[in-house]
Amino acid sequence: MSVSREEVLRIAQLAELDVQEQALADLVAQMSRIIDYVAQLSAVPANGSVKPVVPGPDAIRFRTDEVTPSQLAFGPEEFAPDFKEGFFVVPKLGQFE
Amino acid sequence: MNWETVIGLETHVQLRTKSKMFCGCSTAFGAPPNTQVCPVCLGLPGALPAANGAAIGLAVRGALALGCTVHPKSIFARKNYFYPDLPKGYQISQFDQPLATSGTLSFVSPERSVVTATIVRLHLEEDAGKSIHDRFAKGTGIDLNRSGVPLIEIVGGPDLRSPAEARAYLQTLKQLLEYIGISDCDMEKGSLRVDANVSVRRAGETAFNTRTEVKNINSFAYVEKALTVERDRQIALIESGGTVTQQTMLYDAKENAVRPQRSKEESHDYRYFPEPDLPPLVLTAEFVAEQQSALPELPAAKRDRFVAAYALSREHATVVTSNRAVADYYESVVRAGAEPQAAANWVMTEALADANDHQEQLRVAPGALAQVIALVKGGTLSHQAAKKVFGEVAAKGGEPRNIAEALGLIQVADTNVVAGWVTDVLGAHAPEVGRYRNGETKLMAFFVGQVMRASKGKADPKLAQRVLEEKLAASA
Repeated sequence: MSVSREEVLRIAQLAELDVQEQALADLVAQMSRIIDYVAQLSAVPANGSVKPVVPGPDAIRFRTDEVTPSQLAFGPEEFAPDFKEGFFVVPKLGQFE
Repeated sequence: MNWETVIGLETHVQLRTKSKMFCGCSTAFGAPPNTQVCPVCLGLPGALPAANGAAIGLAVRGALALGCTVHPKSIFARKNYFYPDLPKGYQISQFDQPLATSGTLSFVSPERSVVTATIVRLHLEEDAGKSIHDRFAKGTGIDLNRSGVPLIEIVGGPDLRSPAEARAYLQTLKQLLEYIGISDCDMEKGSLRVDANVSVRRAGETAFNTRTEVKNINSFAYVEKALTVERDRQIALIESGGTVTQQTMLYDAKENAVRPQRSKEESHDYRYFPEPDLPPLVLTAEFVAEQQSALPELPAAKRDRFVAAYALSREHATVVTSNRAVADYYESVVRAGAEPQAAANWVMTEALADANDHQEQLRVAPGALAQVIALVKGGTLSHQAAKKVFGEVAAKGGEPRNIAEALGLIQVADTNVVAGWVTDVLGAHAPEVGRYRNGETKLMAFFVGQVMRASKGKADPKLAQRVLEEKLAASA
C-alpha cells in the first residue's frame, strides 16, 4: 500500500473528519489506488512538447466594468435561516478570545 | 536594554471600479445591506466568476507605480477558510504566482530621513463581506454588499523600525495610490485596511524574532497607537522572562489595547489551490504598456519638479504636492500668472484651510486666486484685505477686484489720507510715542497695526510706516 493507516488518520484530522476504525482499511486501499494511479501518470512525457489539456480558454477573458447585476430568483430574506433589518444574522461572533 | 522594532505592513486596497471583481454587482458604498448581491458574490451553487478587466488594469497600475515586476502570467487561487462573511467558503486570491513582485516605496521616516522599503508582492483578490458585531444583542449581522469588491493586497517587507515610521509609510502609500487614482483609500469606509506584522529584537541583533499580526487598525492614528501598544507588550513580556507566541492580535481602539483574536478556524492551513473556474491571468505587453502610459506624474517626481521649476523649498513643495488635486490647483494658479512662491503661500494657508472646512473643495478658482495675489503685489490690497476678498470669493464667487471695491478694501495710497490716520493714531497713543522716542523702536509694528485698524485695513502698510517714521522723527 502506498498510503499508511497513520497517514489516513492524519489526513482525516486535517480535514476535520471523524473516521471510524472499521472504515480505515477501505480508505487505505482506496487512497493507495489513487496515489498509484497518479504515479502511473508520472510516466507520461511531460516536456514542453506535451501541452496539458485544459477545458475552456487558456487565459482569463476580461469582463467590461459595468454594473449588470444578476437578479436573485428570490430575495435573501427568503433563503436565509435568519434575516433581520436587511442583514443575515448568525450566532454571535466574538471578536476577542 | 535597547530594543528595535521590526514591522511589515500588509495593506488591502479596494480598487475604484463600478462593479465587483467577478460579477456585475455594484461596488457603491453605503447601499442598504445585502442589496448589491447576486449568485456569484453570494457563492450560490453553479455561479461562475468572470474577471473585471478594469480591476486588473488598476492593479497593474498600482504595481507599476510601486516599481514592481508585473508578471505576464499569474494564477488565481482559492484560499479556503470558514467564516460567515465568506459565503463561498473560500476567497479568490492569488498565492504562489501573484500579479507582481519586487517593488519599493520610498518615504520620509520621522527618525531615519528617507527610507526605501521593499514591496514583496502585490496580488489581486476579492473582498469578504462585513460582520456587524454590535447591532443585534444575540447575533452578528452579515452584510455581503462588500463581498467580491476588488482588492489588491500589498505586502511590504519587514523594513519599518517604529510605529511612527509605519504610519509615514502608510501615508506615503495612500498618497501614491490616490495620485494614480486606483482607489479612494478611505480608511473610514474600509477602502484601505492594514494588518501589521510586529516583532522586537535587541539592538544589534540581525535575526528576526517571533512576530505577531495586529489587525483591526482603522485609522492612521490607530496604526501608530496599535503598534506602540503591541511593541510595548512584547518588550514587557520578554523582559519579564516570557516569550512571544505567533498569534493574531486585534486592536481595541476604545481601550487602546491589543487582544488575541478568536481563531477563525483550528488550522492556519488555508489549503490554497488554483481556482478551477478561472484560467490563468495572462497580460500582454501592450496591456501593461497601456497601464504604464495611464500613470500620471508620481508624487515624488512632482515634488522634485516643483523644487526645480518653481524654486520652492522641499518643505513647501511637499505640502503643495500632498495630493494631486492640490498640486494641479497650485500649477493652475501659477499658470494664471501668480508668482510661484506667493502662489504656494496662498495655497498652503488660505486655500487649504478653506478646503479643510468645505469637504476638501478648493472653492476659489485658480484664476481668481492669481488675481488676488496680483492685487496684493500691485499694492491695491493689503494682505489682510486680500484674505477677506479670498473668503468672499470662496463663499459667493465673483471677481476679486469687484468684491474688494464693494467691500471698500482697495488700499489707500494717498499720502494725505494716510497721514490723517497716522496723526489720529499718534494722538491716541501718547505713552507709546514717548517710549518709541526713548528707543523702543519695535513699537513701529504696533503703530502700523493701529493705522491699519483705524483705516479698516485700507491703508497701504508700507506707506503708513513711511509716514509714521517721518512724523515720529519730525516731532522728536
